[in-house]
Amino acid sequence: MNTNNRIKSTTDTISAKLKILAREKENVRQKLIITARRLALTAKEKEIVRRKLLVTAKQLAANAEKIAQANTYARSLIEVSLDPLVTISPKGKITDVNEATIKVTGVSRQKLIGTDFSKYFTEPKKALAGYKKVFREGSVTDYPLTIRSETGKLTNVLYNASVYKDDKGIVLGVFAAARDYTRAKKANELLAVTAKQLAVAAKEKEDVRRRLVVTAKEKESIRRTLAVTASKLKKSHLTLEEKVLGRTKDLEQIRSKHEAILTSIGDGLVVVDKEGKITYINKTFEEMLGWKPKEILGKTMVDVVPREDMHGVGVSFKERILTQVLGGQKFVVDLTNPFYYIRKDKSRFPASSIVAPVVLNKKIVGAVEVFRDITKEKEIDKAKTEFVSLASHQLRTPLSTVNWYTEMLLSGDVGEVTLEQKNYLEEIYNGNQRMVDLVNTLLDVSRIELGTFFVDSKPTDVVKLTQSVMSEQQPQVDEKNIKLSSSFENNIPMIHTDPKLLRMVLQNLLSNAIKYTPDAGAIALSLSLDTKKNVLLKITDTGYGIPADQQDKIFTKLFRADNVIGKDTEGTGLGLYIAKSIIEQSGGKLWFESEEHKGTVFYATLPLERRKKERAS
Amino acid sequence: MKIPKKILIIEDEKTLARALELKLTRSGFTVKAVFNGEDGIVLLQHEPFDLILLDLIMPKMDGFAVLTILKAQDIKIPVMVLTNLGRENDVKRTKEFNVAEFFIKSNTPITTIVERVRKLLE
Repeated sequence: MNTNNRIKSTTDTISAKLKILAREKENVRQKLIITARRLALTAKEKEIVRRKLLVTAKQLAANAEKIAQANTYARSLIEVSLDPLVTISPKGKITDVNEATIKVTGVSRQKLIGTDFSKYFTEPKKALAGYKKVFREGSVTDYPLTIRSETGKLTNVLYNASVYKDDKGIVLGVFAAARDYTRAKKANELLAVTAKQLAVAAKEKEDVRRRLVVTAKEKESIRRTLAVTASKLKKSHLTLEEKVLGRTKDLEQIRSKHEAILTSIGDGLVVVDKEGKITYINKTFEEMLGWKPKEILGKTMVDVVPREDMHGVGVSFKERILTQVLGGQKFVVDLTNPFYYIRKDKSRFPASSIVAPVVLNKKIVGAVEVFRDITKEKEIDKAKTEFVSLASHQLRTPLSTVNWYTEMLLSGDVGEVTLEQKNYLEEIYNGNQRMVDLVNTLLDVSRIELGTFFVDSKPTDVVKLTQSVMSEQQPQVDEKNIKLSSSFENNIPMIHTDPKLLRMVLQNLLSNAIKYTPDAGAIALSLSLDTKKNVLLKITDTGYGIPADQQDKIFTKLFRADNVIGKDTEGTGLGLYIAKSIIEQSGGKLWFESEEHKGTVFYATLPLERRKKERAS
Repeated sequence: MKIPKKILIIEDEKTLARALELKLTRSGFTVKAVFNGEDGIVLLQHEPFDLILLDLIMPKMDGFAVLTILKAQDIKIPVMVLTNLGRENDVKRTKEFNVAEFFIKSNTPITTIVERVRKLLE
């Protein structure tokens, strides 16, 4: 670049700058003119303001006087107020109080001013919170607090408070006015409680209502279902009713028919449950025993109607056939053992009865007993027995005649008899003797049946008695070449029994054994003591035995087993009947075990102890 | 010579009274028989006897009545009762009279009776 050029460009730049400077100089000059003008204007305004201020100062003086008057008026109003009034600084210190506040707190004005306002309340925190609220929101109304006086007196109050500010809006403090509402509070509390209760009740009510609504819905649905079912039921009910009526009629007919049958039964009838309690009795029962249904239904039959045996000894509960049937025995007929039933009036009558279990679903649910008064039968039977007795006695006289005269002939009282004549006479004598025995046996039977057996009990040596009977029958034993053995346990005591009757039993049993044992057989006789305080008599033979199908009849009067009728024509079928009667009357038992063609064992027990009640005659 | 003992039979069954009379006379006793109790009591008032054989069931006056009178009159002649009754009550009743013997006629051989009489009178 050449120098010229450089100069030229510099000159250009300078001239350009000069131009700009000139322009700026003009701008400043213009501005100065404007400022000068403004300054002139300001002076004018200043004068106006000065005049205004003068006016304001005058107004202010007048206002100050007005304010002083207002303050005095407000103050007197505050002091006169019955509500406690207080002003509090932003820091919470009391700045002023009225008389009412002094009264309610019991603290003097001097002491109140400058202290923390919150300490005069039962709940200072709440008081403080209220105070803050005033600051936050500008005011509070009906804020509840309780003032505690120095003496401890409590005053419930509601506060209305608001802030007061200066003219620039700066908060200077709080003005608070309290209203005593102790009574009102109590009422309010009560109201609150009541309100709560009401609320609870209302809630419950609401719950109930809701439930009811639910239930009502369910009910409605059920009702609808029911309505449908009901109509169905109604239809079937009508049909059923017809059927039931028909059936009831049928049943009623059957029932009255049964009732009529039961009533018409000439025998006493009693139905008991499984505990033996009476559930039904028929008319005959009432008539026979003198009890009315209402007196005995539900009571125990065995207690209501006691049973006595022939000897007037009460039959024990256990021995009662009713008990046995309820205990599982199938069917008990009690015709052979005569007994007495005791009526309501304590009189008694001879009875026989049949008891059968009532079975339902294979279980015994009760029993039915049918019994009859056998007084008539007994009378007839007695008449028969008495006739037999009388006849037998009458027979004895001619028998005695035949006996004695035959005897005298045989002993040659009226002259010598030839041997042949003697044999004939002996046949007559023996035949007559058999007749005597038969008559005696018949008389024994009638005595047993009339109950006139004379029992003359005395201490008896059974061993001796047995030995005596054995030797008495030794000739018959020898005749048949029978081996007779005996064994007697040591120390068998004397027993209290009628020796004549016991002899009769022993004779019967031993002679039976001899009669029904073939020649060269064996008979074993023993006496021992059993565990139940009895003397046990045992007679074992190797005889013909008793056929199994006839064993249950062997003690029946006049019964003779088929297998021996032909072998012994002299038997009467009365011996075992008599023997059993005698043994049982003396409190013992008689039984047997037998097998045909092998032999028989007869057992008899004789109690060591005396029977409690013995028949005297 | 020894004086034979005197026996009174009071028995209404004549054949039996006769049998006893025959047998006892033959056995060496003096025997008188009457057929009812009344006659027996009358005879006892007049004659002394050593033994009485007495039936129980008889017409007019039975054996029990005879025993009662004997007891009442304190007649202490031993009595042997011969009866066909043999019922328990009868046996019991006669025992109260303390009789010497009690036999059932049909069950007792006549020789047994004679032996017993002989023993009682020894």
